[in-house]
Amino acid sequence: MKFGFRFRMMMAMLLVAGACVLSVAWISYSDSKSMIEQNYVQSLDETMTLQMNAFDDTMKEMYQTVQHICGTQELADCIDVYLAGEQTYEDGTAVTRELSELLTFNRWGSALYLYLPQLGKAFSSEEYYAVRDSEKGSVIPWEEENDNPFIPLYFTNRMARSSQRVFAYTQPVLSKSGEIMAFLCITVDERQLYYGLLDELNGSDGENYMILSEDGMICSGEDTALLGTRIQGLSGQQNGRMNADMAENGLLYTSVEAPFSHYRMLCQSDLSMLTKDIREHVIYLLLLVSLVFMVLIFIAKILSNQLYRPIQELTEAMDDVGGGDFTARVSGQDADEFGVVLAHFNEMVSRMDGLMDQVVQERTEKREAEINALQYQIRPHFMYNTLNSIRFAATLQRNHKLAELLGDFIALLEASSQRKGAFLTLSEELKLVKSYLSLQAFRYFDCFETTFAIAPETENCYVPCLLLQPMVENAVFHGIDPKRNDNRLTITSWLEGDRLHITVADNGDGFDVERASQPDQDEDKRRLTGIGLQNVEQRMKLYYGDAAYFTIRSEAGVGTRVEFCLPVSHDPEEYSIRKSGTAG
Amino acid sequence: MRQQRIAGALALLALFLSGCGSIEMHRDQPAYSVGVVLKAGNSPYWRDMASGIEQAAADHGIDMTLLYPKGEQEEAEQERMISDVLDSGVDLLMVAPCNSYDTKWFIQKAEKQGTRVLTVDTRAMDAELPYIGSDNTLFGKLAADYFNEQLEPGDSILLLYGPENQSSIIERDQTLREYLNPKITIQGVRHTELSEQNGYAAVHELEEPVDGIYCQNVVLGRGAVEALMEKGWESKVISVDTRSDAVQILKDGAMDAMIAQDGFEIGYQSVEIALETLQSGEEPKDVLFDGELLTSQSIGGD
Repeated sequence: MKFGFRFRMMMAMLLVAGACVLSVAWISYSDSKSMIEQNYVQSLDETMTLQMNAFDDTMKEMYQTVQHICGTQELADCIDVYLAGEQTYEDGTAVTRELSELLTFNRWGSALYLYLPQLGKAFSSEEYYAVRDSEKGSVIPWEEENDNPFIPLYFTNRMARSSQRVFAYTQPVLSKSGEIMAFLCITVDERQLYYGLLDELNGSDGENYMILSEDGMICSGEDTALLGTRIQGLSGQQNGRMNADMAENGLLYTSVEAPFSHYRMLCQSDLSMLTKDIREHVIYLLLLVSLVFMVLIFIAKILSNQLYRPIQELTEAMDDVGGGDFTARVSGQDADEFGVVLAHFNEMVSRMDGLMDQVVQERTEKREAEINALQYQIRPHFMYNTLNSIRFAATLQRNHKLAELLGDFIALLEASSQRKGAFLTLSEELKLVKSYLSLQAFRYFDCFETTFAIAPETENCYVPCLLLQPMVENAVFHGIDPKRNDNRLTITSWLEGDRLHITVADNGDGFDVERASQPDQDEDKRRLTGIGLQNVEQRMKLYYGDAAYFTIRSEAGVGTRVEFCLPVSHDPEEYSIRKSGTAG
Repeated sequence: MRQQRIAGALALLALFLSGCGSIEMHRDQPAYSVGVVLKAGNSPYWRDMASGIEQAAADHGIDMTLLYPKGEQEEAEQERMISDVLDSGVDLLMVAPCNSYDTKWFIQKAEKQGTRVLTVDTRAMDAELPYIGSDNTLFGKLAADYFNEQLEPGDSILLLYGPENQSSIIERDQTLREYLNPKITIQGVRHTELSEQNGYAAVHELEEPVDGIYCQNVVLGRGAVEALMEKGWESKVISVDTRSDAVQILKDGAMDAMIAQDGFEIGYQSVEIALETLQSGEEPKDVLFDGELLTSQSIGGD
């Protein structure tokens, strides 16, 4: 396929359409992705806020529980009894039982611990390591305090199994005198807290939830190996009540702070997993669009060919016409716009063909006329000389009438072989007519009379040479009855506006104009009449076209009247064929 | 022409970039933090008040720390909580003190760190602090009016109160005595921890029947009614409770009369006043909430 206009147009349209589809797909994808991500973060915020509220409620309850227990009389009595006793292991287990009873808070593996600093003994509400000798702070950081007392402690609880990490609140137990006589600690197990709060959330693909301390340490999460470490790849500072931003590693970090405990829940999200479905959908859409485009290209090619076919036919026909073949036509039969165009084209070519034929015929006729004229230039020459010799002989023999007749004949002969031009003034034309009539008067023994009623303003008007002579000849030939002595010819001329009117009338028997040209007429009469009329008619047509005409009215017993109507012209070249041909 | 092309390219870029953009969302810490330490959380009234406080905090975006000791007599426990709330750095502390005569210490501590202090439900009797809560003098008068109407001269009543060092009890007791018909005898006054068991015990230990009993709250009242039923004594019992609970109690016929206070509204408005205080920096005036005497007749019950 050549990269023609059609192909370029089609490709341009497809490119624009493709660009539009791709733009819409991209914007739609981006907006959808952005909306999904925004909704995701909002949903994450709500979920994490709920979980951290649950975390806070637990921490608050732990705080209030330890505050309450350390002020109870039961605890004070229990401590007093143990201190007053022998402090045997059995006495210690009694303290353990009392702690267990005092611990009404029961959630996420909660436990209560009591430490008697003066004895270096620690007691647990749990059965495991119920009583243990320890130096202060070696198993539990009893006096470690946060600036904010509501922030729970986070440490590895050595009163329990070695790996247990706990969230805890500690509280000194004061005697009535205000001295510290013990420390109380309430804990919840990190693992149980994880399974209670985070494990269900961590079931989602591409998400990793964890709880961080205020300084960013991982305190609870799926991977226990990371506990106590700091999160890697966290770019933005996680502050405020909620914060969500993208890290350099492409992960979304969303954190929500618990208002009471000031711990944060952090969710590490792989957003590519979130938008995986929509991405796959976009790829599917692009493949589908590509397929549709290929089908569209195929359909466009077919439609384009169908649309182009009449144009192609027209182009080929125009090429043929341009090459001179005016027989070329297009075959469009459709009633649509193309059908109209093709029909008009065919009509136009037909007209052009007709005009060309006419031009060719006119040229041929003109050439023939020119050839004839050239022949006339040669033939009459010796005839004039001969006739002038005869006329001269007649004059010498004093036959002046014959010499006069020969003079008229020579004048007619010169006029009929006009060399100077095709037009002459009406007065010159009438002079020829008079010469002719002089000859005919001799022939018909002066049996007719000719009257000229020529308006003076018409004498200088130019008329085709020998325009009137054939009509006068017809008038003489048909209108003169040698047996009569009242034969009369009348020639008149006048102007009406820019029209020149000339009439040739006789008072003969008249004739049937229609029958005059019919084949069954007398051959001589028909021939003479026909030649004269035809000659005049053709010449007027050639010179004036539709601008001039003549009429013949003949009535039996009345006579015949021929009237010419010509455009007034004072320029012999105005209607000459040479000028018309040059102009045309 | 070139400028038009550049403008077109920029417009196209803007169009594309409108669909792009990285996620960045942030929610700041609330502008204000308020710590509230109530006297207890073990009665419908306190639970309503806690609900009102938390609702107002949520509505106004306030960081709220709400704590309460095990009971209204747990002064030491409340002291530790008040101290910890102040240590946590709140902007305003609101306290319903278990001991109205021991507030100076936390007022001084709060002043040192620039923390505003208000009292709710119970006044400070040893210091001048704004108070938001029930008009307890009105409650005492309503109780007196009820006894005056229901009892005959010569009848006797028992007064069951919570800790005696709380302004709410002191004020109610003062006006009750002031408006009570002098011909009605106050047979006894008991100050006890506000529990059903203590209400029961206080009545159960009576040797002589009484014609009327005023209970500090409905928890005490329920214990008293149980004891009366057990002893078979006819006695008019009036108690104080949050309104929604009081109506139901009267419908159930568990009490003869109730003085209703709106715990939720007191809690809600106290937070709003706290917020206004923080925003304006001006110390608020006392805001007193009316109470209403409800009987089974007044609520249309049997």
